[in-house]
Amino acid sequence: MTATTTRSFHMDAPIRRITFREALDSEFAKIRSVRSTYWTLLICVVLSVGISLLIAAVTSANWDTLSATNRATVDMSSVVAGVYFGVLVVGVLGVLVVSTEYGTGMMRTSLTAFPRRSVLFLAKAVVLTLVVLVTGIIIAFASYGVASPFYTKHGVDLSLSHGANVRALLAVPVYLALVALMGLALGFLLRHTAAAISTLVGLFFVVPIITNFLPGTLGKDLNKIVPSNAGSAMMVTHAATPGSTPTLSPIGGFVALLIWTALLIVPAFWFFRHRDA
Amino acid sequence: MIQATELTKRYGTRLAVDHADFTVAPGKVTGFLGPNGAGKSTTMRMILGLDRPTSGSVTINGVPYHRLAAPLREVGALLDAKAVHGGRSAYNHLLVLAKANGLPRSRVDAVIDLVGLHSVAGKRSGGFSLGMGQRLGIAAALLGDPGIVMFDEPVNGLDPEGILWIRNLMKALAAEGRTVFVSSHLMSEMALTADHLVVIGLGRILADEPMAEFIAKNSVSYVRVRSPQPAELAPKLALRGWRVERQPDESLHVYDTQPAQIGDVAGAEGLWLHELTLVQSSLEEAFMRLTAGSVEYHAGQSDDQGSPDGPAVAGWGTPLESQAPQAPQVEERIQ
Repeated sequence: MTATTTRSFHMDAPIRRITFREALDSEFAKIRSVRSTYWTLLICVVLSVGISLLIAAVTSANWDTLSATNRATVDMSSVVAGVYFGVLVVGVLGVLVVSTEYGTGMMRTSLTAFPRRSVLFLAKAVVLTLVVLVTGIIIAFASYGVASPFYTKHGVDLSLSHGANVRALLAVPVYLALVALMGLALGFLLRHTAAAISTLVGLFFVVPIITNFLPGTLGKDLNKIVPSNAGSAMMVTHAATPGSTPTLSPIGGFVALLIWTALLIVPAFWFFRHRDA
Repeated sequence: MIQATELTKRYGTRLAVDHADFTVAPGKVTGFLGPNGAGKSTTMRMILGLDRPTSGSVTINGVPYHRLAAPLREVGALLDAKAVHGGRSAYNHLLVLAKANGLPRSRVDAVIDLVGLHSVAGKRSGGFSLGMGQRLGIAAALLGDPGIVMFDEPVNGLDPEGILWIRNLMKALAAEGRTVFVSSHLMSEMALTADHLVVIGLGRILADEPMAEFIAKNSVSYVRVRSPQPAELAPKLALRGWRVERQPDESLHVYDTQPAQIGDVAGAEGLWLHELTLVQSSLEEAFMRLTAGSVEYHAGQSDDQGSPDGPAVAGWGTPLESQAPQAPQVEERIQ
């Protein structure tokens, strides 16, 4: 039986006002101390790099059968093609960081410890972004390491001395981080893991199917700006080829994705500040 | 010190908390008593800034919760022991909270020590029993050595040992000069721990007074007397300065005295007694009377049962009316 006196644990240290730093420390401690973080990040790396490798090997093996037009589309975006699937996994991580707190009731405990909501929101977003950026850099360079030899032996120029190639590789962590933030926002908005993940999957895999089949220029324009196509456009280095599906420019893709993220983050932030926890 | 002023929370058309005014003072255990759905948890969530009041305000040491410099240093709260991420170890859960307020790691060890969770500190809290979860919640509440502690239904579902531990802890915390605010829907539990009582029913504060005052005011006891000669007995008893009420069924309710003294009077006067029963309404009944009009969901019972005016509210310990009135008998009712 434990002693019921509390005298032995008095704190004499003066009270210091909590700041962004404390929120950041706490959020880092949170993301470090659950297994789901490690699982999702591991799956993201394995899936992205693995599929990039697979696509590279298959493309290389079939190089002779590719048309000149198809060969012209092979560039750095092909090297990191697996990221197309990896984004969804970091999106799920973004969802989980928030939705598990709502699902378990931990959010109320968190807010009791740190009631300044906008600061807490910012800390969560920053920690997630940093973790995903690091993961994204690993994915980009690991993919480059394993997949690029399959293309360079066919004469594709993937040299990192070209600014465009470096820019395409660095777009990977940025793309992943923005999608993770979209997941985070959906977690805050929907507060429910399954609902938020379904919405994310819908946005990335279902919406493009619909826009792809929309007729006319409106369909084409919409198809360009859906999150998955906007994100993919960020990693393209080759010039647009006639006859292929129109895409945004890399910078256009980045801006489109930024707008998507803002469209979700801004209401998420507003609701988090104003809704009952 | 917690101070609520005109605190109100409305969910759609339902008033969960209705212009509540109360003060929770340091150095004692203040019980927050009310039936289920009375607004206890909503009030506590508003104190912690989790829910936003529709109108009115509540402050901690003079400021709203979200403006506290370091909340855990001033308020420790246990609202829901299950409000932890089950995948995180007990130690890491406490570490996350400690870091949020810039508290050193040594605080985590100190509170783990205090609640006796050393052996499971490294285990994921998802597998904890209710009692262990409750201890983890209390460890979290005491992390910053706060001057105010708030517990929402802390003994719910605990085994007797756990209940005793929490009762003693709350008393010890109050004895150290802390403000202890604890909610319960059980009067019997409050009677054992609380020094002061705030009673809430359907969102309204029904009482806010020292426990002793509440007991004095509400625990009515009287002696039920049946005699074949009530008309002769009543004045004799009234002569002794006791309040005597004649009931429609010819029995007498005599206040301010004990059965033996009535028996003595009757004996001295040569009057017959058929029943002499001490009827004591428990605090639970006093509480039920107080909140009778404000219970959210009544059990399906007819109106004449558990009426607010009846001295004996339906329930355990009600004197058995079927017992034939016989020789003088004293029935001490157990609270």
